[in-house]
Amino acid sequence: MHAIAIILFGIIVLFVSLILLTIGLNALLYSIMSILAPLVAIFIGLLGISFFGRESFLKEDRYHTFNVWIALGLIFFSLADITAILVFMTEDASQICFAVSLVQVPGLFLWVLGILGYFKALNASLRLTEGTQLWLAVGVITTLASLSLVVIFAIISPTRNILATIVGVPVIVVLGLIVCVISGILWVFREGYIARSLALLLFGVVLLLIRSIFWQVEDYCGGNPLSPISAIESYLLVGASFLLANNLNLIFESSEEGME
Amino acid sequence: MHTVEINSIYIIKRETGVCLYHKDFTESAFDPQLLSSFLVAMTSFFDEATRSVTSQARAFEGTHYKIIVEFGDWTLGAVSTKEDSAGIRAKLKRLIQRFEEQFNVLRWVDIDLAVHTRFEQSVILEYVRSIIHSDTIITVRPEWEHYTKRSEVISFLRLIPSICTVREAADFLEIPLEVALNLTAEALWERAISVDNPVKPDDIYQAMSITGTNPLTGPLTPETVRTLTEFDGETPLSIAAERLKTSDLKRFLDEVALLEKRKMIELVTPAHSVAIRYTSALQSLLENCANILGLKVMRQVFLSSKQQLVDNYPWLAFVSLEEGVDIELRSSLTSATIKGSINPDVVNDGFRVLLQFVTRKVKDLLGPNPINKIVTNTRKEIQNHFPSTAYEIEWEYLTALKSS
Repeated sequence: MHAIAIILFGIIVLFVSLILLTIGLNALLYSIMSILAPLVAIFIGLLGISFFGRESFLKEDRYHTFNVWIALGLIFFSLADITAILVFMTEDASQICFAVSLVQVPGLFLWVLGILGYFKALNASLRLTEGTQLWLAVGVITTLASLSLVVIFAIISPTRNILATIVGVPVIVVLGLIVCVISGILWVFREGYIARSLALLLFGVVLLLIRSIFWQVEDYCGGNPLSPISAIESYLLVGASFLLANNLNLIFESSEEGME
Repeated sequence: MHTVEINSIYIIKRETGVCLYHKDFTESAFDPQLLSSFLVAMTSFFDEATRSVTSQARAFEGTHYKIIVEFGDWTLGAVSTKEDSAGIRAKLKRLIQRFEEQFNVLRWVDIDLAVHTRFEQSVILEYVRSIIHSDTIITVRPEWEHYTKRSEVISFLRLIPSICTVREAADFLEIPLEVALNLTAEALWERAISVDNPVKPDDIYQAMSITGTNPLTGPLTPETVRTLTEFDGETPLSIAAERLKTSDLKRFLDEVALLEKRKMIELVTPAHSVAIRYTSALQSLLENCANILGLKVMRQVFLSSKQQLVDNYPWLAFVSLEEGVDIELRSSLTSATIKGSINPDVVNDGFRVLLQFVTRKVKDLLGPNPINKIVTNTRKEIQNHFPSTAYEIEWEYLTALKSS
């Protein structure tokens, strides 16, 4: 029920955005969404920590640890959106993408930690891959892809700030990696209840990935309301994913757990 | 040395006190007619004394034996054995039932129905066949020809080496293993051979001298004491060997056989072995699933499965979870399995169904393919610790059908 409430809120945000865009109040829309984005990120991050943060580290509960890292990453993303507001107020819009990407990096780092840690735990139970070759391959591909894309974007858009490209491209690559890993996990569990939570998380990350790609390809940062809107929708999808993940145990209720 | 678990068996008609069937596995046994009269007299006495419709007397105890009594409709079964256990009682009940079905006419008339010959296979199946396995060592007695007249047993013993395992005998004679197992059981029945089940890595032993001294030999060496601490009644020998950092498993098993001969350790009851095996499998399954679903969800899965089953298997109420998904057998259940007061089949049944319920619920959460993989990996882990008995868990019933 609560997951549906969050998704409904996301639909309302889209609906309001559509109306304001149609009317032509782009600036107003950008202002509202820029403020709403970090608030939503903080709220969802705190929600995640309240669900999963109490016990996971002590008990080595991999699934809960994974959700805690995602929640902590969202807190950093909220800082990134706050940074966007501050930089926008300095009227140097070209620096927004660079600043936001930079502040997102620690949050992304936490997401990678969480997702790869969970994948490792999955692998211990399911034996999907053997040995360390996979991790080595992932590291090499990520590095090579980042370097290649930096060069490509630098050639395509020579006027863009090179620092923004150097920070922005690895963000795209890492988000792409996270999308691939979550997709793989979702494929493995596609027939179970857990797939619903993973699907929502996947859509959330895909939205962030699309946003990051548009930052590099189009002028998407300075004043364009689609950037904070996509951020809000992404955070709300992640929040709905938390709620479904937390409610997995309610499928099988027993009276004994309450007494223990 | 593992021998037939009973010394002798008697089936007695209650009304008349006549012994209808008896078989002795040891050289010294009771006179059947004397024992029958005694048992019928004593059970009648207890009936009179307590004025109860169902007879109360269940066991009589001697110095080195117990006589266990179970009642049928018109017969009474008695078994002389070293220890009373629910397993032996359950087998006796089954035999009484089968006897009453097969020879029902004896309830009304006394005629010669060749009872001993016709009922023999039933008794062999219950009490003899269960101790014969493929790696059981057969030792043919020196003058075996005097013990048996059966042609198939004579052919069997004439051709096999004087000491060999059942599997070796089957391979040597090029006969199916099942046939060799049945022939061995018949030869043991005829007392033409003796059998010995070697110590296996999945055996579970418990130390009998925990005070550091042996009544027979006196104080023990510190190394022996350290070894004995591993025999806690819960750890299979394969894991005990790992903990003691033993590189030569065969030598370790020989040392265990020696400790057993010296009465410093003893094998746990079949019910306890079954409980430990299933607990290990369940623990491994819960841990593997908790890696994916988290501890909270798996606790809920276990507890809701248990709640659904506790009406049919009340003893499951004594299986609980400690921290995380660590399974704990409460002391009432542990004590019942160690004493043998709960039937191994009952334990096997309950745990099997609990495992099935848990895997079904996890299948709903993860899908059929992942849970099948987890069951396969769990089976491999359990096979490492219980190489000979892991197959007794019915893994194929735990795998989910793939959705179309």
